[in-house]
Amino acid sequence: MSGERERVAAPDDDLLIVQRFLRGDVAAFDILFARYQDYVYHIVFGIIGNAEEARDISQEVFVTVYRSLPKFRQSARFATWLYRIAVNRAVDAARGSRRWRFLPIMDVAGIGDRPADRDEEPDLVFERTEERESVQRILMDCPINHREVLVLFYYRGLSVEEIAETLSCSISAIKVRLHRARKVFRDLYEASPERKHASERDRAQRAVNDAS
Amino acid sequence: MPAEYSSACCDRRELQIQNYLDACLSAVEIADLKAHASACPACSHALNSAGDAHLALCNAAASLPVPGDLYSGFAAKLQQDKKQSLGLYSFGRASLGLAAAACLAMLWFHRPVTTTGTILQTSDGHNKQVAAIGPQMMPSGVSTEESQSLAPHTNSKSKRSVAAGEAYTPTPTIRQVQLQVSASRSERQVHNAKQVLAGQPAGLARITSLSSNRKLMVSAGVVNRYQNPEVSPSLSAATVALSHPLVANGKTMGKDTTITMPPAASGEFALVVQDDVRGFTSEVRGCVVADSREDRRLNSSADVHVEVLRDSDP
Repeated sequence: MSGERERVAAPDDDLLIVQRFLRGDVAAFDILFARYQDYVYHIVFGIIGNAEEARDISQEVFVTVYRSLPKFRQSARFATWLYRIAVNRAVDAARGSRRWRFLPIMDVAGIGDRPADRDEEPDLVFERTEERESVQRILMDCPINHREVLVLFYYRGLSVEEIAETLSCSISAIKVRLHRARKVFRDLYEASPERKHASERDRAQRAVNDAS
Repeated sequence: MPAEYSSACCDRRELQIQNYLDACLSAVEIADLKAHASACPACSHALNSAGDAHLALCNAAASLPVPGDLYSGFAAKLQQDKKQSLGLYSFGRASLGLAAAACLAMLWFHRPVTTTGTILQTSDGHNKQVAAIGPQMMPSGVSTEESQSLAPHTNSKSKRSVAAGEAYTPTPTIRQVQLQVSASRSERQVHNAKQVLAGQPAGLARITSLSSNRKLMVSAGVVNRYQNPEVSPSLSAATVALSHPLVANGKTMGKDTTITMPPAASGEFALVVQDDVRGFTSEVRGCVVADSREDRRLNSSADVHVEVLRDSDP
């Protein structure tokens, strides 16, 4: 997420694109895809923890959306509707694959060689990847209802209100769930071996930030 | 310990810490929290560890890459979905026609017919006609001998599999398989497998996975970080079949339906796998063994060599 709680686009804008699509402009869907692909992938990956499966399911989510757009109630926010589909699909998949565990492998072909990664120092990229993997491992140890709120909050950057809308829960229920989820994650993170290294570096970074 | 450092107070601070991390506290509240944390070891620790966890989650999310081929895969799936829908539509129309024909046939067969028969007089004096069965009322289809010969196929999974044309090898290399199964239960043991098979050419380390219907699938390929051999839950060997005899490792694997073997590339093949769980068909491409990170899930396209070795049903 990176902290910000912004919306991807004005809801009206999405609705206009949806309406264009429903009028027969198939290319309009590409705009929606380009706009939301990262967010959907992040949500699905955060819940599932496996890059390849997340890619598969994200694509299926968009196929579902493409098929179901005529049924979309245009009084609702498109993004919320899309996230709900993504979360439900990811949770179903995560529950289905509970028997086995995947290593969060990030070195799938085509994933690590994006321009943003190429521009950075290899050491930094490697370190980040390791950190990300350890965070994902811990996320996978969290109960699934905690995982989904953490993912929506941190990976997607949704507000509590938006999460409540997406998961069809009350705001107070989401607040409680998020609080508990953070606590569970924090305890697991604290107990993890990677934490020591990361926390030392982050604290140093924070000290630098505070000083500046 | 001062009252301020009581457990209840620190519980209240817990929520305050979360609000602090979400930047929802005023400057006064932040100063208050920091002052308290500097004097209270428990809250200081909680603040630090909550901050670490918060940062870790933020960083993880910020650096999460998205695969570049997301759109192309989506487009392919959509295309496939459209074809399937079209197929279902055509199938639906055809079924409708068939159903109508069946209804007409039933009406025809159940029309009032004039039969010849015997009149019996019952003890209470009523007459009862026992109709002779006309030829149009005879059950059609399966004879007794035929139904007996079909029974094993419906009761025996392996026989049924053979009848269905599944890839099935009656003479598996058992010793090798057992070695591979035991050697691929975890990532660490995969490395052992490589060591065990070190005499083979590079890239021939084998990983065995167990598909949902308990057929042993062997994929050859150097697989790093292969944590769990049961990686292919949705891969149903019941739908894996070979259209031509596939010669792999000197064995003929099977025949009939869904495999494609490009004639130009010797030894290259693709298994078409129906993913029943998610309702789409995907391919497992095989060739001679290359690095195949993607064969963690056998329902994706990857350079893996898949071979059904034996039916492990009891």
